[in-house]
Amino acid sequence: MQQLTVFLQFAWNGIGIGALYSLIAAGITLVYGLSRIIHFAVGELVMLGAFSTLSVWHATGSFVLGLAFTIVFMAFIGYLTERLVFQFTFNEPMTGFIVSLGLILVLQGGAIEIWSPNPQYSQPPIQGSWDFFGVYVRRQSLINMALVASVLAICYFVLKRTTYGKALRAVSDDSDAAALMGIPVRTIIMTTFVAGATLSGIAGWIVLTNGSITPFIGANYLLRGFAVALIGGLGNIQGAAIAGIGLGLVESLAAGYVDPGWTDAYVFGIVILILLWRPTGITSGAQGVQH
Amino acid sequence: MAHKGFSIEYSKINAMNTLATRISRENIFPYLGVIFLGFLVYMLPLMSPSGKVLSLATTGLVFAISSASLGFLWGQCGQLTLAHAAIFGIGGYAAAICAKHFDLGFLYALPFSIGAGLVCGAMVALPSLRTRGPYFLILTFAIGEVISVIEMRLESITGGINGITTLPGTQQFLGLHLSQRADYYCIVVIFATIVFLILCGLMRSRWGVLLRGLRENSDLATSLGANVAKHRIIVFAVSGAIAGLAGQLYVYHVKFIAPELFTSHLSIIFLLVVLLGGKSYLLGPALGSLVYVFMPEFIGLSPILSQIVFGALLILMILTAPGGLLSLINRAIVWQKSEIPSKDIGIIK
Repeated sequence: MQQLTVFLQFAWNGIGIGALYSLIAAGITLVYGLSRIIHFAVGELVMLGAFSTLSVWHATGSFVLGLAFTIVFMAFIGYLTERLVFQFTFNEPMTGFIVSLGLILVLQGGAIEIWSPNPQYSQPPIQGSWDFFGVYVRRQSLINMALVASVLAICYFVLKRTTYGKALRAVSDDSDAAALMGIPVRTIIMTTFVAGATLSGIAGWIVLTNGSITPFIGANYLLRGFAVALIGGLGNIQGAAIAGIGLGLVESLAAGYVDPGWTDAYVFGIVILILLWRPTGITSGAQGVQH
Repeated sequence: MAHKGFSIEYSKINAMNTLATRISRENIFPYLGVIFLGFLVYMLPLMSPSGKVLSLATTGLVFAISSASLGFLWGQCGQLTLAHAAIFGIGGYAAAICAKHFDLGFLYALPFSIGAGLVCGAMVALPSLRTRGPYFLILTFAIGEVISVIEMRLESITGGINGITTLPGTQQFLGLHLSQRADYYCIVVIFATIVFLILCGLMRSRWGVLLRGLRENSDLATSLGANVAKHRIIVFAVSGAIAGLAGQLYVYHVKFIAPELFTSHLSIIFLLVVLLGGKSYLLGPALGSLVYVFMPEFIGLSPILSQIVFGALLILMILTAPGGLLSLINRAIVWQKSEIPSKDIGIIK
């Protein structure tokens, strides 16, 4: 019984982290699906979202305002990066990847200049936890999960049920044919950069509510986000959700039952094995790289 | 019997003939150019530069060796990896562990650091046979992270997060003292010259042509009978071996090694440095790493501000001249001759 409780505790924590990875992966999937650009600066976008929330929290003491500001701010950042940089690289996705590496240096350096390299943290917006038969459930983690679930549900709905989503899927399938049908391909791609940055920003908000942040957390979320997006199958939001929770579970259980210092090795080892076993993701109907 | 002897004799003559014709046909100017450049760089201590400049120049050359091997992989074979800093680190760790646990000096550690880099490089090649594009990139990224966790956790061997301090003491190499800055700089220049001569030879060889064929269209190369797997593993192994050598040179330069020196951030820096100089040129990565190392000194900004400037300049350069700095020179030459600009002319090829 005791063992079951401990297991459930680890599993719950894992689902909590996994939800965060799913959110980041959804943004990656959207951007890659349309522009074929491997947008490596996504980790820095998460970091920026966390720091912008922190600034608003310092100024006003409100996390709701922080979330609202972060969404607007990150949408603007996404718009800015697309207009200033990425729109020139659509013909050569590899150039887009290199450009995003340069962007990492710029964004990380900027964050260090503005917010100092030291770890910073905020009070969790909602404190306390519930006790479900020995399993402690932080109230904040429930809120975070509800946030992730609703954001992913909105994404799913927009993709599957609206005209915009239909246009987006058409561009993803064949951008030339979509352009011939009168779909504004460039605008649609631009909106995915905005959406991707916004999703990363919301993820940053969650990261801040979970603990301390530094300007160097980007690489961590970058690798996990991409691993989830690839395992879930690029362009597949349900796949990202499932793979994210799976990765979170692996991470949490490995940290709990085996040496926590080796967690990263287990997680990335499993990522390597899965990608070698199914090079195009584990979900059916996932689309791999064709070229 | 006599007939057989004759045929052996004949094949020998034939081989010597082809070698002679090859040498006479081969353009030796690129090699002479590399040696001349190496000689020029070797002369730097005569100008009695400050210790800081000398130290930066040594770092720049070590980065040049390492990024040249990445540039060879990327420019010639078209394979991009994010595990390069990890392999560079493994070479360094091999040297440091040899020094600490087995009491092996600089010279005797060389085969171990090169060998470790070779084996790890070949292992990174294996996933490239099965995956492509973003999948391979993320795989190499994950491999790099796993390697750094191992370096962090095997505390009894690697010293964990505190790392290993390696003091060269009174060791000598070719009569040069490892502990003296100017002497060590000369050692690094010698190794850099050798590495660039080897890479120059490989790029200009038939094998280099084959690699560029694999880069352009691996399916077509396969259909013409090229063994993609074999050549890809060899090229990764060569690149890994050179990175391992650079790792050892780096460790004996900074006299300290720790996992945080070889994070994915360094891999990204290597990639950007290669691109800055020009990935399809032999000397591109060297130029890029010298610019990267010396730029903060020249513009006199704090490290963080210069990181921002470097990133911004790089984005600007990739958008305007994706071939790198050397392609600008090439473009100028082509423009002056007012020929039709061709896409891929190497300065040294």
